[in-house]
Amino acid sequence: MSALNRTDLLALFLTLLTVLIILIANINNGHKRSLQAPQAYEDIDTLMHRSSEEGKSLLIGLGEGFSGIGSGLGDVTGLMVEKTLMNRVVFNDRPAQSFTSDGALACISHAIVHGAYKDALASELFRPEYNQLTGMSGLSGLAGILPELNRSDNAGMVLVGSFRPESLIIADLAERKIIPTIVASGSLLAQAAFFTSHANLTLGEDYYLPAVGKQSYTQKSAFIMNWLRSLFAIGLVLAVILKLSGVIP
Amino acid sequence: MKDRQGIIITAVSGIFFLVALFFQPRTSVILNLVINWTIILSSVALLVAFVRLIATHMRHIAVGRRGFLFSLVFFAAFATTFIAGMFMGEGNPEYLKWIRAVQLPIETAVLGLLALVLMSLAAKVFRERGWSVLTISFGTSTLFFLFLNLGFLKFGNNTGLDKMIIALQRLPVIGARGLLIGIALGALVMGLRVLFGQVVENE
Repeated sequence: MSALNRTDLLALFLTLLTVLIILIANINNGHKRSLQAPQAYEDIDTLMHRSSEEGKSLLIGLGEGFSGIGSGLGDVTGLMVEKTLMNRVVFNDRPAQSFTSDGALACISHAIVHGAYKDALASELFRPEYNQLTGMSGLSGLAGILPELNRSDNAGMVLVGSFRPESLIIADLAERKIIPTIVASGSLLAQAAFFTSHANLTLGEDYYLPAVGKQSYTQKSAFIMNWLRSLFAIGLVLAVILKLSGVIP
Repeated sequence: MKDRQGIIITAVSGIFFLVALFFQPRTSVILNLVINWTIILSSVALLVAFVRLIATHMRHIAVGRRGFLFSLVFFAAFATTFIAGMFMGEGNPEYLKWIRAVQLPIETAVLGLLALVLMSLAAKVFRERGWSVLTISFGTSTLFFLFLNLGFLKFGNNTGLDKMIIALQRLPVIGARGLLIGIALGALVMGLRVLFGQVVENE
């Protein structure tokens, strides 16, 4: 067995600790206390209702991260939100449209959008343009979304995934067109940039609690993350005390 | 059953990849092979998505959709770049110079626009978000650290004040690390839950 360095050991320990807490959360299914879901995700419901009532389209931006070619950290939060959202708006007068700037993400997103129509036994209503690759990079993807946002028949915009601070231009255009925008990004720089806009956004790790549709996934994730956060805080304080007292060199 | 197969394949490949990552360099050969497969798959996915993008723009032109002129611009730019790249080779210095001459000014213009947008939005942040502890601390800390990092405040080598300024300059990095720990935790929890098939299970 090859020797693991200290960083690898720490990573392995954290992974095993997280697995343990996930298992505990699965056994402890009876925890009744409902945890507050991030407001930005809860507001997606309002946007969906608005889209249905006004007969306008809902735009979903999934960002540029998945295959690792883009600069953002790939994750599945955007796809989870897209799946829930698409399942609900299949029969709207104006269909929801999703945009990506990553090839792999575009293909998976296509499967999700098509799947939503198929599940609703409405495959004939599906059009390939409901899911589009807007560009091959972050900036070209951004340039591709702007003309779609500029149309008059949009009820709202949901940006969920890996975004750059440059994507703030989308929120600015949405503000000028009076289109409500919800932003959830795992990028710290993007979170800071979008904070200056009118967009309803998630901060920090709230991004990983996509409270759209059934809340059981989010509730369990919040429970696990609360435990991990508490253990981390205790660990960090303990490490500081040991370092200051000279126990750790 | 079909879903369960997918979950099992995802879980096995994910756990294999995770284990292989920890036991490098012994597992490097396998790891590199898997990474190469992933790159090939991603590239094929990109090609598929790109063909669909072309088809979508062709449809926009065919039905005369509002804004189809953008689709024409897209086609012209794509065809020129593609044909030139095929004949000259994608590594040709002249070709790359030509591409950069178009791309750089456009990207710089977007960044310039972003600077203006950021300035205007930063000025409006209190109107947009209201006066709260979060907005006030955001505004004051932005101005404070902007001024501090300009480098005007210097009192000589190793004076107590200089050390204090250096310590203060580290504060945003410390804050960012705190937030990044949280984000990394979220990513770890989500990744492991996807590996265990819990996302599908809960939908």
